[in-house]
Amino acid sequence: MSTVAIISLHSGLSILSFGVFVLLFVGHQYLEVQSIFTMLLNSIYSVMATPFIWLQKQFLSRSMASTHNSRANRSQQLTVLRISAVAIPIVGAVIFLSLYASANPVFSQAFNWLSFDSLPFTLFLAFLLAGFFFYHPLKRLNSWHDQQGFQILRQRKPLSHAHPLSLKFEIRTAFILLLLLNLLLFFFNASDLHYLMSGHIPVEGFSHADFVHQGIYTLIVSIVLAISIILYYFRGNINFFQANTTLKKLAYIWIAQNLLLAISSAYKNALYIEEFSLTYKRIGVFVYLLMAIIGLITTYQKLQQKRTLWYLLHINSWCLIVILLINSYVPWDPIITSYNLNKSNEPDYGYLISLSDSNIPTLLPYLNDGLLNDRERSAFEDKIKSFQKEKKSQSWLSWNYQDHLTLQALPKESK
Amino acid sequence: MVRPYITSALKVGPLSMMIFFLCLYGIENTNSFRMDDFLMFFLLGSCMTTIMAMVASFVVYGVFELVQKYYHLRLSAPALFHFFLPVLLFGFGSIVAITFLLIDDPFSISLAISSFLSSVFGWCFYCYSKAQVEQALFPYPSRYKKI
Repeated sequence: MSTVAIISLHSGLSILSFGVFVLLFVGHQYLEVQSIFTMLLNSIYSVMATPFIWLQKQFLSRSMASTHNSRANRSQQLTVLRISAVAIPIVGAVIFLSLYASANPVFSQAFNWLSFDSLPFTLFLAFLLAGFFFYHPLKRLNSWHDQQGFQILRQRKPLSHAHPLSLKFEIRTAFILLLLLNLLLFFFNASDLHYLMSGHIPVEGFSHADFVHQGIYTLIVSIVLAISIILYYFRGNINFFQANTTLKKLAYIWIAQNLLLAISSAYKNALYIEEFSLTYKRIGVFVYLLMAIIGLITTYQKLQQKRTLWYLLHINSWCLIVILLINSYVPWDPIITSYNLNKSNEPDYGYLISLSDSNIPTLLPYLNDGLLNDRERSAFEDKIKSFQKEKKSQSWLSWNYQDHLTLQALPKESK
Repeated sequence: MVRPYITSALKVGPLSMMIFFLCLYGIENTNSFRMDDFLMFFLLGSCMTTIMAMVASFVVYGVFELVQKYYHLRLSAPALFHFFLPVLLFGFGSIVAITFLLIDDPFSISLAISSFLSSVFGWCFYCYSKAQVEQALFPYPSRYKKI
């Protein structure tokens, strides 16, 4: 599905999504797990570690062979001699070739066909492929993964080091903490809602932007705290304690208040976009809020169904992947461009020009309207020229529908 | 056993300087140094990075050694290499990722990449030297030993 997004949209997000899915696919081939979290970490580790593990194996096996097995040592020495018999002359020839080419332009012209421009990319690709084909998984993570379940189990044996009444006092601590946090968040939400309803900012020197930014920072801290505190207190036998009803209710109220905070922040972000304009950062805030809402809902589910931390990681990583896949199908650059040009009174043309080439057809009518200043105009013309140059140097292998549409939109003489 | 710390730092110092210049050249795609400057920078930089690598290897690899001793892991050099490789890769890798996301400066990106690669190469060299010391693998023993 991510490949279809690359062919149709060719956005940065679709390429990122494709990369993630390739890593997941490779992980799925080697590991018998369904967890996105485990598969992704294993594949990233394999890609990063395999070349270094090879290097270490080569040196260590050679040094070990030299002590214990003289025949193996001889055979390895022979392999090294064979390789160096070819490699050393080639490296020497390349060094002298580059020296002579820099000294004599006629000689340099004769070797124009020889280019090392694609060498770094080829090496990078080889680095990646080594990790894919010679998989080195994270053994400790996988053994930890095998021990995990989705349901919290009651520990019936008394813990030797803990006081018999420790659970009762833990509940009391959690109750007081959640009560205080609920009260604090209630007053915060009340002041926030009052501002949203009346539109009046009670503090002098504060703008809409300050309110949105502060709301987002608070939300990040609050949600991470909410989930981690709930995870800590509901990690074990408190889930099965009969007197935990009030504590659970307090936890539910806190989750609900955090949800309210997320929704009010989304509304503030929408107001901010309406007043100023749409940017990637502001879309990112919406995506973050969506993920936060999903995280809070799954935390509620964890509490209600007595689920483990592993369940939260598992389900949230699946949600994250789905959000990434959906986002890779949205043409954000043309959407941002057309929204800002239609809704904003003073669109930031510099920002719009800095976006990807997919917004060229939307921006093209503004080129000759006189709305762009000289700097923006030359930047936009440079953007069109670099796009055309890039397209000319590419073969049919680089074809994608979005670039095809952009090429169609350009005037024929400039093609 | 101080020998692996010193040998790995001596190898990593010039190597990290080389990686740094290659990264800078690769990102900027221009040769920003003249040849004389390049040699001077390379020699001086190599001395500095060797000293830095020595301090860093004592701090980072020393901590890893202490951790394995504290938990009585008794790992051999190859096992030690595999045990802490994920910590190094993900630890330094996350720093590179954050640098890529937040900073758009070729100098900082090159610095992050070269420190990441040097740390992992340094770990390879350190474990190799440790294995050599462990197995007493010296192909040319000194005359003093013979006497």
